[in-house]
Amino acid sequence: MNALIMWGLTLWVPVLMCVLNINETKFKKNIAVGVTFPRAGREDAGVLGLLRGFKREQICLCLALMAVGVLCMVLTWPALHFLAYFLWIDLVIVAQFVSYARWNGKLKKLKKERGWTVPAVRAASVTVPAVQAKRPGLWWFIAAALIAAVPAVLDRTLWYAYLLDAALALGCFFGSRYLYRNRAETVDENGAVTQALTRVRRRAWDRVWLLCAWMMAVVSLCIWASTKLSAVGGGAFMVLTVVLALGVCAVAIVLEFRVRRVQEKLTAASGEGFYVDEDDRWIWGQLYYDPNDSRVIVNNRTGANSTVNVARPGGKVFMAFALILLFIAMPVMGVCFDSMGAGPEPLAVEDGALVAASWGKDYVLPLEDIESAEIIDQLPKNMVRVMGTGLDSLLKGRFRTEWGDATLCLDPRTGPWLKVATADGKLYLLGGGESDIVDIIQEIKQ
Amino acid sequence: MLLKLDFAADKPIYLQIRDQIVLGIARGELAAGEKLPTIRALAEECGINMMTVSKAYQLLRQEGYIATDRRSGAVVSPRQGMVGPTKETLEGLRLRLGELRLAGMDEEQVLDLCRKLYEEGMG
Repeated sequence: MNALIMWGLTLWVPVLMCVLNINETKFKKNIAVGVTFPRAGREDAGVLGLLRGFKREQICLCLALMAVGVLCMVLTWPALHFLAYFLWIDLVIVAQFVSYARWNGKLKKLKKERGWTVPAVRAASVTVPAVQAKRPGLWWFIAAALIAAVPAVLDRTLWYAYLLDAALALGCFFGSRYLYRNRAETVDENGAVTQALTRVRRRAWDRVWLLCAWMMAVVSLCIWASTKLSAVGGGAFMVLTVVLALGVCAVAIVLEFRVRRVQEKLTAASGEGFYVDEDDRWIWGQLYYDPNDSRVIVNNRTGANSTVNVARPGGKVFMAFALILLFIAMPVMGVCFDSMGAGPEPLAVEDGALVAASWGKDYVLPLEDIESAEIIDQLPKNMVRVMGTGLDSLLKGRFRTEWGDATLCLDPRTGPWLKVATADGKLYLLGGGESDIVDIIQEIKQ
Repeated sequence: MLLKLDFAADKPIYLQIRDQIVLGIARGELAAGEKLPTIRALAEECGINMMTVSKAYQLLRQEGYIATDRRSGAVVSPRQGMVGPTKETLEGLRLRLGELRLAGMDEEQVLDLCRKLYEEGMG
């Protein structure tokens, strides 16, 4: 079930990337597929032909990536499922990046052939930064953080989750201020257009962060509500979180396209006389590299997003971290999850102790500490995970159940299971899968 | 008004900023009393160090082109009528005229060129 949700949440990503890339073929701020053209370029047959080729390739790539995704989902089920999932995500990112870089190179070559290169100067508006636009204040974010923190007072068990949500809500303020470069959207010498573009982009950016902050507040309330509503339990929390996350994603995508549309409309007449051309600072049209720019966080040229300057040490560290995460950590995580997906190891009695083991964690209960042990054929209904792992084949960690708080290390698919109470009042639910519970309970009783 | 900074040029960036703001005032793109961005905002805008912008603003203030105030930041100063060229301007002008003369231009051609550039600058 978890895996299906996981694929369901990501299988549409190639479609989104395809739509975003196809949108790149529309001239915004004189730029198409990361290459700046003068007005003449918009009607040039060679340029238009290459843009059509790029569009076609994006559609084919999208279909191929989705087909590979579906195949991964079907063929690797249930073994190596997570590894295939993470490798597929890497493939989606690399394939899109390489395709974009390839067509960006072709367009740059054509631009050079046509003699459309302009002297490399950095244009900076003097008048627009002086105009101070009103932005959402810190109080809007503090209010969201306070609401997110309220359940910590009402429910002490999950206090860290509520406080984490509150911290993230507050962190959204810093994201809105410091992950955005406060720079005018200069396209040419038309100051009114620069001002309008800057205002639209900044507003969209601020709205997304403010929305994220309030989403964190709602998520926190949802966690609290789901622990109270035992009839719906953890499932309701998961559904609500997914719905909220998808809602914020949808708003962010809508705003991104709105900003792009405004950029396209307002700069439709640009490209004559002086116009800004920063192509030499964008490697493959996607990576910003400017050693003369002291800023690490920079704005993407089109849309409302930000990126990093890979010429700065901070940018290099960020990029290295992202690459390690994508190409090393994610496949390793896949292997780990697949190992966990095999379920817990069979229960055993070793050296006078009951041992329940699963990937990376052993629960060792000395036999003299066990107060009671009984075989159960039904697990408690509506268990809420407090902290730990929740896979189809493995429940591990702290859970809240109708029998009270319990520590679990079991395979929920097949029983029976072992319910163990220890002298210090703790409750354990163990076993399932290949564990021979009858033998184990006899050994405990002996 | 746009600043066009060339990082490959020999001229230091703070002088490029100073010169272009002076030209902007001369052309009327920056009116007397108009607010200039703060040092931080202009540094962010240009992607340069705040010290570089501060140096340019300091120079402009010393030359009387802008006035700085703690509350309102930097504003373009009103021009005080005819004040005449400074010693540095005259020396620079002499040098450029000498270069044009050595390049083979006569007085009439130099004056025509000056007139054209003056009109362009005010256009």
